[in-house]
Amino acid sequence: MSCLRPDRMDLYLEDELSGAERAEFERHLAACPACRLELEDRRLLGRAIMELPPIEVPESFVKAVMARLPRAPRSGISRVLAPVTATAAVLAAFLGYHLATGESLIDLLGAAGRAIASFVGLAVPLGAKVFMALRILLELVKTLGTALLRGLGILAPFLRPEVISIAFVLGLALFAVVVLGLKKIVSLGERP
Amino acid sequence: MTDDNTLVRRALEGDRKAFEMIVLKYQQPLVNYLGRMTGERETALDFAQDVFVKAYSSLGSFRPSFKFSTWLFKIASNHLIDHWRKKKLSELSLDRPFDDGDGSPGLQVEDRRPSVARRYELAELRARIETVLARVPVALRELFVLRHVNEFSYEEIAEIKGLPVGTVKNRVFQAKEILRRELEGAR
Repeated sequence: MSCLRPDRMDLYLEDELSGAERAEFERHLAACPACRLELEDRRLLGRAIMELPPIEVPESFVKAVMARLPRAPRSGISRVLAPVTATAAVLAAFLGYHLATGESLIDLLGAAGRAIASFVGLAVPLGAKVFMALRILLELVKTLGTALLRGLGILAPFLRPEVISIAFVLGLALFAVVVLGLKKIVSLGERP
Repeated sequence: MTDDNTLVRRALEGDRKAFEMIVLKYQQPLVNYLGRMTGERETALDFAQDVFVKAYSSLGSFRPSFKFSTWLFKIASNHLIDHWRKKKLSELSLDRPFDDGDGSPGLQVEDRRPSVARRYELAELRARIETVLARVPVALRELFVLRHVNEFSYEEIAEIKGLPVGTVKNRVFQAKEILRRELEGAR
């Protein structure tokens, strides 16, 4: 009779074998000292694993968790209902306005559509201009800053502190002129 | 002690004290699991906080027909997977492919090896296990920890991980064999 498989030994120790398997297992065990020895070794290892010390949790842990919790848990229904409720609220507002003023719903929806389109029409070009201006500005700051630092690094050993201060102020003034010029180029904040 | 489903119901009704009791009950097993998976106590404590916050936020999706502990550990396991993904570790990384053939162990033990457990005193053996556990590939270690540290049944682990029970049994065994091999090497 061949010896017991190690995986069966673990399942035996964990009481995971069926009655018949267990009986057969124990019959072999009674006749095989080598298997008994290995089973005992596995039992000791299993016990050591089960008795690994717990990782210490500080007393402040619960408090820390409770401080991080949102105001209230969301119920399963509220997760589904949230978008439905929002849509229903918008529709109810339209309907209420229609009932109060007598204006046709089609006209109301048309007006809402036009308002959204007009907002998008204004916001998109303005956003693009701001983005472009910021990009140019960033590029300029980077280039000028690098040049200034490099220049100062070279000149510093030969210049007195007052001269460096004057150069710094002049640099700032030049930067302001460039920014004002840039503002004119992209027409930011200017109305014809 | 109030049962989990009652505590969840009360928490959903706005009773924060009820959720506090859940945290008190599960903080230790959760930190034990996360600590053995990350190998760092501070990280384990941070992750355990994240898991409780996630659990609270999605408490409404918990179905009382399931066990709360398996639901909570499923959240914890997914949290770890997200962590490993961010660290560019695949779920089954750091190892060779596993042999999950039903019934047949992935690691064959060709011969009768000398005793590992009887070589050390119990305290020393525990200390060595802590050290070598980190060398067991994460995907195997997770199932091993759920089984032998957190004492979940194979069926519960299968539910947490969405794996067949046979695969779970096989991988837990593989993890134990790697642990034994590492303990032999750690002489």
